[in-house]
Amino acid sequence: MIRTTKQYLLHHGYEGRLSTAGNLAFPFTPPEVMIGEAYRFNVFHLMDVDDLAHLFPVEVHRLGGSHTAAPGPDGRFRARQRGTDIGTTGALVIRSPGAGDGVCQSCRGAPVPYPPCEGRAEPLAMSAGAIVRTRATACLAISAQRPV
Amino acid sequence: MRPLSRPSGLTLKLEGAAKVGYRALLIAGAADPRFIARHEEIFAAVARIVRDLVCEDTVEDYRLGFRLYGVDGVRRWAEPPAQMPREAFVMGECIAALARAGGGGDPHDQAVSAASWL
Repeated sequence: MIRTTKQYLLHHGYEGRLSTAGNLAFPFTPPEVMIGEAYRFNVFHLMDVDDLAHLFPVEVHRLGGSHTAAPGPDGRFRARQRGTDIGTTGALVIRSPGAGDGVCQSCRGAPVPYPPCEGRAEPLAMSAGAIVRTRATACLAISAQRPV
Repeated sequence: MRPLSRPSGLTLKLEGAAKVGYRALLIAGAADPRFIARHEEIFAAVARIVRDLVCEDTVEDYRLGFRLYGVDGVRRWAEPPAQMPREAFVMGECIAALARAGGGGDPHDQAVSAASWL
């Protein structure tokens, strides 16, 4: 499509044309570029809600603090990522139900303060300094609470 | 102003976008005052020619458009400019369901090579 278009626009013989060698100047060649998938804005919902906070659940657990997480058999706290034991940590662990774990690629280093809650869910994991993307798209920084 | 239907007065906004296909661009410039002056009829004529070539008797399954930045690329002005620019940026844009006519191959090549006979 776009290649055909280029050819015919370049040489289109409109009324009064003098530049028979070509109507266009190309900064580079080929001047046709594929830029991938195209999207159209199609959802704009403004929903009335009773409460915003419950739509963006975030649970914060502070291992080794006064909250509910318990140490392992060796007396140290273990961190897990996607079911795999990744070592011992004393880090603050954040869990966002349904969001999964991982390091946020977009706002690394931009910690958002968030108060710890009294949740009882099992920590998902995270080493000190990692940042977790929550379902609310806010990102929470994890800071070490004690030496590993 | 919309009425509030919850006592909380709180609202949550959800925005989204749907995939419409693949986009290919033509990047060019124009410095011919005659071309710039008549760009609207030229773009329309070329779009017709391309449609007749590519579609023949079938329905048009793509969208083809042009912008002449420097004249009316950003918005549709009610009046033409008092003086036409000496140069302008020409952008052609095609959005098609498939990146390549007939399907197959690398989808990222598609919209570019629909008319490989040229």
